[in-house]
Amino acid sequence: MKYVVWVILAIISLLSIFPFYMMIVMGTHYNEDLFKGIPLLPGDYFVENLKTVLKADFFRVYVNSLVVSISSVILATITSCTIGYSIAKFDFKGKQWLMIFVLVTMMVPTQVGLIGYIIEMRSLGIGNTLWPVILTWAAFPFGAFFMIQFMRDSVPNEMIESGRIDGCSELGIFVRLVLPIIKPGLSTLATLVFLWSWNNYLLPLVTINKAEWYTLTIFISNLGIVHRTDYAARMMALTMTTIPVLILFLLGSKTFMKGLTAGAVKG
Amino acid sequence: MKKTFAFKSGAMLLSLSMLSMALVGCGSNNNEKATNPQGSTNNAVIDDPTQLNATVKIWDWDEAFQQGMIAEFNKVYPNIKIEATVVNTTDYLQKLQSGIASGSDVPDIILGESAYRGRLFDLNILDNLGNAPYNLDASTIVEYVVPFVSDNNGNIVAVDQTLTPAGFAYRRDLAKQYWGTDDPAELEQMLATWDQFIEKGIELKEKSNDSVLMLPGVGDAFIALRGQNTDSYVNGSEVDLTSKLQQPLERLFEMRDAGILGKLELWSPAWSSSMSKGEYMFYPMAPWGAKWHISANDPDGSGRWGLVKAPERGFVRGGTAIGIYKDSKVKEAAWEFVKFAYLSDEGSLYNFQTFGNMTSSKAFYENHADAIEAPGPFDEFFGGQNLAKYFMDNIVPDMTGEPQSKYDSVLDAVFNTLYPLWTKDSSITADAALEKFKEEFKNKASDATVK
Amino acid sequence: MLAENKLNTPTASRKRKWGPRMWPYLFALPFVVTYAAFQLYPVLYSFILSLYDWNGISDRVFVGLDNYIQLWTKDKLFIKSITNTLIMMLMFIPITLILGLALAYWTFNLVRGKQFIQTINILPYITTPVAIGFIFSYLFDWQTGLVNLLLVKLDFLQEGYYWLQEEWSSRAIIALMVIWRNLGYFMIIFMAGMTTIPQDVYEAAKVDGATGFTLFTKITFPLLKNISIFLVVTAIIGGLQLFDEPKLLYGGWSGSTQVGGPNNTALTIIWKFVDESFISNTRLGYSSAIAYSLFVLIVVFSLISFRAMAGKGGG
Repeated sequence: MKYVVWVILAIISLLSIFPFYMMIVMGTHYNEDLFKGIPLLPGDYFVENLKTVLKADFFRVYVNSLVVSISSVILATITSCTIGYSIAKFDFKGKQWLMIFVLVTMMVPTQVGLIGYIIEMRSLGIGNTLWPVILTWAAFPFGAFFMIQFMRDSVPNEMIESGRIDGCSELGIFVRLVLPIIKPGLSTLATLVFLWSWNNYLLPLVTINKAEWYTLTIFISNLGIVHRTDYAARMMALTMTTIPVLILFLLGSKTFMKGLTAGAVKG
Repeated sequence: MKKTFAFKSGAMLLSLSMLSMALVGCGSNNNEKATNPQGSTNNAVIDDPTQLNATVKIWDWDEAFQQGMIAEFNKVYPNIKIEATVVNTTDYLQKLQSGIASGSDVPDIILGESAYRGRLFDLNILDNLGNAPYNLDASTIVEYVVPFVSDNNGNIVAVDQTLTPAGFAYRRDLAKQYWGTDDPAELEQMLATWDQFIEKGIELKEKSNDSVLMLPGVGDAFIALRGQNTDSYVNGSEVDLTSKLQQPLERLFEMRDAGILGKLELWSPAWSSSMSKGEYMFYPMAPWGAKWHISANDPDGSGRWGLVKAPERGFVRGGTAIGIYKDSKVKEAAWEFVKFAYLSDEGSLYNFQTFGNMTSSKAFYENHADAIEAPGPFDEFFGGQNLAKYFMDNIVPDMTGEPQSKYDSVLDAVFNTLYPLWTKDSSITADAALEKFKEEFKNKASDATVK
Repeated sequence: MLAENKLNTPTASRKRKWGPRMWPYLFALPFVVTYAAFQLYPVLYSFILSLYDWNGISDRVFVGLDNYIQLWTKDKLFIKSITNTLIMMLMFIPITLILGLALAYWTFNLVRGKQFIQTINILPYITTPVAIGFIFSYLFDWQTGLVNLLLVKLDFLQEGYYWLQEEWSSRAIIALMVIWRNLGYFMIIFMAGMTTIPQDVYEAAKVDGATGFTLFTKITFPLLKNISIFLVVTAIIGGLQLFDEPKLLYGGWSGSTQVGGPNNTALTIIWKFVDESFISNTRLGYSSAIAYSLFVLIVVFSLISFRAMAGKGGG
């Protein structure tokens, strides 16, 4: 049985990694060569494509994306875990309504408020900065819902009660007792928010008008010139944009594993 | 406690709703304010335009072009700063409309690529260039271009970025092998009509045992056929698809049924790689095609390509229109740049020699005939044929222009949706295709009456 | 007794005022305030906009509920987009859930290689959608795609199958893209949930003689209930908003965008929305009506699924 499991996991992993592998390989070829056959092995155009990508202010754009994503993560995790704690671990009047509120906000399609959002950002005076792209994650319904569900399971009521009996302040309980326990959830959420804000295309497209504030996704879609879409250079750039997320995920999953052992010890 | 909370949240929600209503109101006010006449620049006669002081914003996808041209421009107009932002063709209109709808940044100079040019014109945000301060005289522009840069009131609202007359690029080696000649003049005679084209196509198919066909696919053939029919088919919101498409479709299906078309889709990897493989004789090509299509996809093919006029007449392929935003605050300065880059002799010479762009200003071809006579960068690739001269002398003269409308993009979109099915299913007839076309068109443009 | 004494001292009574009763509201405040500040206005604005006809530039024309009426009674493509979206959701949600859970469980219980498998399978999810669309349309290309080349070589087919232009296979490929993309995501969420299950419950059960399958069905699965609810509900909400995959699959090589896929069988609701606002048309009011109709659909579907899974009382 164990071997069957391993084989299935291996096949699925291979299928998962194949397109990713293709992306890396494509980035090493001359663009027109991509259309001649299927490149299965790395090509020799690596340095050229790298030059194309770096030539156009790549670092600045990378920094922009980093700023956006890190800020988004901070904002989203704070608002999500606080409301998650509130709904998951307290009983109060209006709790049902609040829960419904969170659910309903989650159901609003993301494209709906685009124009209105831009208008609002403009009237707040921050229209032509990176703020619109960051603030869209400040109240992240998905994140709130995820935290609610996660905390329901992972934070034991008894622990909170004993904290209160010991005279700990509410804030203290939250910071010192609850937060350490929900680390796997937090790191998962952080990674997801980072990823989604990193890959966001539509919002930066319509809000950012100065090339110096462009994020990676917009930058990549502009690679290549008027009649020749340089797919190979784009693949190279795309590979480079995937790296931070990959690193983040690797780091995040270590906390995961720690959470695993923590769960084993308690109770 | 509970009551206070409920009340507080209710009030908060209410006040926020009221705030939002107020902001909506403010939003529409902004739109009205925006249509006020321009304020800052003086209306008095400008003595020396080269001394104008202004910052002009332009959105373009061609960074290399802007960098080169702006530097040239600043040699003559040192105090006009041009800020170019790179925006993709596919996102251009969406970004522009969001900008206008939300009252944020709108560029002073707007580009309209052929894919969305008609829609851009119909938005009515470009200034009429026949009026002051532009005073563009239509007679100075190559005739066939005028309808392409006019809106549906007949006003010229843009300047053509470069001429895009198109013919067929062909493989000299294949022509020589199967038809005995690779001379453009002889081929022109041989393929003077579409009937002859089809005949020759069948001959080619048989002689080569099906290994070489005339065109890579239905899409390529349609580019030529559609472009040759330049009669207006739009009257307000009445769209006469029958008159526009019946003949081209019949021709198209005739070609498909004769078996002279390939099965490739435009721009697919297979299509791109077919150029070097020698599977097809012809590819529709405009001046920009030499650099970006043919030589890019067949880098080792120098010398084995030629250019010939398509049967019956030339057609337009691609092209970009440059317009000025109606509510721009720096119109004179913007116009100076547009004039310099795309119409002036000086700018056009630089443009032609550096980027291969051919201006739509007639004067240039009279004053700088030598520039056209001189060999161009891709002439050798095309077996020594002077491409610029061939375009100007053989293809441009009997071309006509087509008025633009927002329905052009719908037509293109519907075509793109349907033609793979026509390639796949050879039992579909031209009449059936036209009916389906009308149906799909109606789906996409529900406000139009379709004939 | 001691606790009661503590609660009656002056410090305690001060604490009681600010006791647990106030705190849930305080904790919920950051989210609610930021939402009201940044998201509420756009949402309301959109609703008001759906009552107008507007192209973003000329003046707005009030049309009341006309947009909605036209949408639901006359717009065939809209109805088709709803059925398309639902069909594709049926194609990918159940598979991703089941497969994701199975993979999560197996990976979780691996002795070695856990992190390795996890990392490899998250790659599809972190790869930018743009790259994925390109790669999939490349692989399934009629003439030169790898899939057809393999099938022909292995003699399964005579000539390449026109994957992208057949009605059902176009949907299947999109579903495949979504499954491929989301398996890793479902895996890590399930695994995050599994970390909260205390090990000693498993120990106790094993002592009682329970084996693999029983352990899974009696212990793991029930304790993952809340996480499962999260995944199902968000999958439905996300599924109804399907847009990236179909658009990028057919977004094509520069130029030939085939909105809606072959015969509009791949047209999803959001795709229609974007089409109406920016691609084929500029009807911002009309498309806002589409967005709001979608909102209603999402509310209906997700509330149904939430109730069905959570039972009464909300879990």
